Amino acid sequence: MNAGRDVERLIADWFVEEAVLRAPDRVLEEAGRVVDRTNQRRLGVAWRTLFMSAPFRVAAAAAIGVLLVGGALLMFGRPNHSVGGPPPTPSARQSQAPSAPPSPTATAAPVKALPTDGRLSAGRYLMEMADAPVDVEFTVGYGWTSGGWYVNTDRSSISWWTVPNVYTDACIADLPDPAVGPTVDDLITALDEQANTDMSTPVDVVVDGHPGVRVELSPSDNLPDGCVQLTFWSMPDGTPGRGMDLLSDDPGAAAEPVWVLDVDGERVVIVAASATGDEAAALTMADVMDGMTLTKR
Amino acid sequence: MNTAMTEAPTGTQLGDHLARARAGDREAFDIVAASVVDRLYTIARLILRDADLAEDAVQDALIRCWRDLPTLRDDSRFDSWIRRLLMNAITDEFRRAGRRRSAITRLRLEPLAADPADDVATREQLTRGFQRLTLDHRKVLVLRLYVGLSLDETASTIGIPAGTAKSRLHYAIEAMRVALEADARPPIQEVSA
Repeated sequence: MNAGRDVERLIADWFVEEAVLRAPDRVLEEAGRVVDRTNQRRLGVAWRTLFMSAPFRVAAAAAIGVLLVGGALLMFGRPNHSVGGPPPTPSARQSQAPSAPPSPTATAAPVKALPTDGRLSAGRYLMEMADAPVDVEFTVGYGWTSGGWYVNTDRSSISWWTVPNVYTDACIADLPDPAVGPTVDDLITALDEQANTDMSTPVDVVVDGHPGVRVELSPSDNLPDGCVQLTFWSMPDGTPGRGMDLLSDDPGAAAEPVWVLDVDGERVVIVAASATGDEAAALTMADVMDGMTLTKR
Repeated sequence: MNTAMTEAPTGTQLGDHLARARAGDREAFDIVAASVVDRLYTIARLILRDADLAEDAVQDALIRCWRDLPTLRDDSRFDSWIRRLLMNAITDEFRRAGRRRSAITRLRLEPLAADPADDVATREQLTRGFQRLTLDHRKVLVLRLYVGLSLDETASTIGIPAGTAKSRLHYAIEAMRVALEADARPPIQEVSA
């Protein structure tokens, strides 16, 4: 009966007949309720949620830990496990050289200022943190892109943060007043107490001679309805900082690896993450972390 | 192509609201959302053919719109941008509802009695043919034949190459044609002794 008909016209007319032209009011109402609890995304690629599967996360953490502690042992002869402990020794300047066997690109190449954006050539870069008197040097290979205050590949990202405050509830943008204290322990305590976020057991670390703590942040079980993203902390201008996109298509449980360091009295937070199960990306990221120096200006 | 869908105002009228919403103004976002919600729902409902799933997909798209609006740098691309958010949300809803959808689809695919009214019968044939299409093919059909997007716009909205959009459109139309022609075959006549 339909042979010879213009099927496209038939389908188009059928769509018009079938179309429901008005959305139920509850669509806007429900969306509005969630929007009320949702922060806007303002930080480009650094917001990207990077997931690591549990077994791989353990392996990567172990690998990074070995590299970091090994580097510290090479430099100081013994590890410094005290968080917020004594200031770095004068030998800290020696850490300008990589603290572990250097990667092919971590040689004494000239240090370039980190561009505000764009693809990076392999080499060593200097980033002056905008909101803290701290200079960061690091070495990247090919395939990295700069965002000015973070660098990333399509599988890894490292970002450096000055964190003035931590949200009481990661699902709701409510900042405590007064803000959290200035030490590493203050920040870790606030993250541990943050509602709707689970924090792993803190592990003492040393990065370029600076003591600190490494934790992983992940969504709590039984998040409230409508919580589509977590926001861990705020930026110095009061806008939302690092968070986790719960609408991401990435499978599995999310966890953000976070380093909180004491750089001669300045608290520096580093988020360094790799995509799920990508061992090469994790090792590349670990290389960058390993060759990193942090110097108070 | 039909013009059943009227585009939201995008010039200074919506642009001002977009700028304020991008800066975090909730009231401005409400205006932006209200200006697009019906269009999004119509598209979602046509593609998903399920009211509940369509509502969820539109809500999801609006939430993503609010969240990601600061990343939209060109207001003139808002329409295509929000449609793309909707396509992603539709895909997510379709996946989430997979089992339930399969059960519903199986039930709906049961043969229907022939209707004496040709128009009604044709609609049923179209419905059955459309429900047999994959989500990807449904998206292309609706965006091209209902929304009236060009092939390039359709491809961009779904996030696929134009060639892929073209082949999907061709396949979808052919599948619908086959469904119509197959259903048009006369029923087998009982032969009385």
